[in-house]
Amino acid sequence: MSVRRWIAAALLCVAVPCAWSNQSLKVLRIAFPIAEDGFDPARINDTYSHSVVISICESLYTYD
Amino acid sequence: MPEHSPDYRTWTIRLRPGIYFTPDPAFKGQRRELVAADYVYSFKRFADPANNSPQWADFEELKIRGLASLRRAALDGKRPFDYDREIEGLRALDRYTLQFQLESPRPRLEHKLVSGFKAAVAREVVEAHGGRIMEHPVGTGPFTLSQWRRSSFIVLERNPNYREVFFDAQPAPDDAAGQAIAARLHGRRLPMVDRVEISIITENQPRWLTFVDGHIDTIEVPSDFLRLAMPGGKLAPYLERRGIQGHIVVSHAVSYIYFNMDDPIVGGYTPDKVALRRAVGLGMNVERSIALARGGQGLVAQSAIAAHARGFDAGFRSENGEYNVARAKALLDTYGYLDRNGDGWRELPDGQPLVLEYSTDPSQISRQMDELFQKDMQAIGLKVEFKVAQWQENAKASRAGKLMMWQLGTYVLAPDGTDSLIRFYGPAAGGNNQSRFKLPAMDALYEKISVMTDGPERDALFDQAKRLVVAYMPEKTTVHRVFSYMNQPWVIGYRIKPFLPGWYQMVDIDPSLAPPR
Repeated sequence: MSVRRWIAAALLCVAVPCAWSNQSLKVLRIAFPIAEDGFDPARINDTYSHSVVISICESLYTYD
Repeated sequence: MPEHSPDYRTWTIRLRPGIYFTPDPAFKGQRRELVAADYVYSFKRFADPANNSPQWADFEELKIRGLASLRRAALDGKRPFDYDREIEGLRALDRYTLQFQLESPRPRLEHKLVSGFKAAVAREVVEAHGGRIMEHPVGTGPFTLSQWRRSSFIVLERNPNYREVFFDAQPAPDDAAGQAIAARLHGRRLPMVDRVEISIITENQPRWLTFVDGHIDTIEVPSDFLRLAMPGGKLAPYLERRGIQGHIVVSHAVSYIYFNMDDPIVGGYTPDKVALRRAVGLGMNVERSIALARGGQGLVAQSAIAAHARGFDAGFRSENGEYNVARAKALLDTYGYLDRNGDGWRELPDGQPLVLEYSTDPSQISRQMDELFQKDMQAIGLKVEFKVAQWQENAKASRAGKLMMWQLGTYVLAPDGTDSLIRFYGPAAGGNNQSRFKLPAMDALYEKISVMTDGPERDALFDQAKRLVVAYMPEKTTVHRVFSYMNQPWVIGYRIKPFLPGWYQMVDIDPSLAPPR
């Protein structure tokens, strides 16, 4: 449902000029020096895949 | 925090109700709550031989009752892993209560549950994808995966269903930078950015220039640009003028060179073999390698235990941190490693050729370090032959015990020295223990340290274990890695701390400071 809402908003922007543009979206842009393996927590072992997975799936505890 | 029995064998963890997975077709339109059974399932996946999980060796160390035998039943019977069979050691007591029963005390169980590898996935999603969710992660966290071009570009979007979580960091009172961030961001709902775009840029120069040009927001400064970016450990004026911020962090990563203990040349436990390894260690000028190949960033390691971990002691000194050519030569002379045929290289005590086969990869930084290693060994009369292969190939050969020597680096996952010492624990040979070091005294120490609660008695055993590694030298621990991170002025709250698992949800972008995109 949430995905559909995004698409609807995007279409609206194409159709009519509006203030809602990419500039109001906050985008963090970063780079990895080494390619990721993938995003299955049980199958990966590299720090870059890990940093993506931990942003999508949650473990029981976290450090401050 | 989890509750435990007085003997640290039974652990009971209560989950917060009301945490939901992001919507997925596998949930058939229903809201899907995260429950204790999801963690039971997710943890069992480490033991499933079909997943060939790199986490299994580490997870097995928790000694969860019945889990290893469930794995064995699948392996021996050549049948699928039985997820439905309940085991005593890992159960959901009710919807929100998870219980571990362990064969041995594990006073620091929660350390093992922090990393993202221990994250919860939903069984329906895994099964809907035939067990293959490398490209289809579905979780309960702050972001969702919205785009993935393998080895090129990853896009995460804010998870609109993420529960209410607020910025609530509690920096130490003497941590001025942390206090300033907390004052600015306290109480903000997470995540603060709408989207994370990750580009894979493997070459150092283009990655660095992309940052300098303002097209990426943060960077770990590549070692070959440190002198330009952080001369003398201070942010370069041309970057400072633009409001860029730099942070130097002593990490929890170590680099080391291991010796294959099963190798007929460098392996073995007899005094002559120990002497050869220690001579190699004494002959290595690690400080110069840090200065020339790592842009001056790194601390010479005195022991194998990662900085910031329990068991690490900044005051500890040992032969592992020593560079002493005279002693290295004397050791080799004493044990009969002499140049008998006058070709300029030492031979084995029985006169057979002595060549150190050193595995490496074709990256520029490895080449630089290899050259220095070769010079160091030449100075003590030892011949080195490099075996060049891609890192992944070396990793595979290493696990199979086929390399004589290899340099690699490790991030430990938890702030405890056992995560480092597992590299020398016999039963972990072929897994975390790549040198295949097997010494009953070391195994006994490791097992004792694993079951004890923290305190001076345990620290004393850490000391013994560290000295045992230095004495036998299955690895020469070289460097505690130090990294420089930078961020653009419009990134608020960027801090990389040791053991911090995920940080994308902890930073904000201030558009008033950013150029138009």
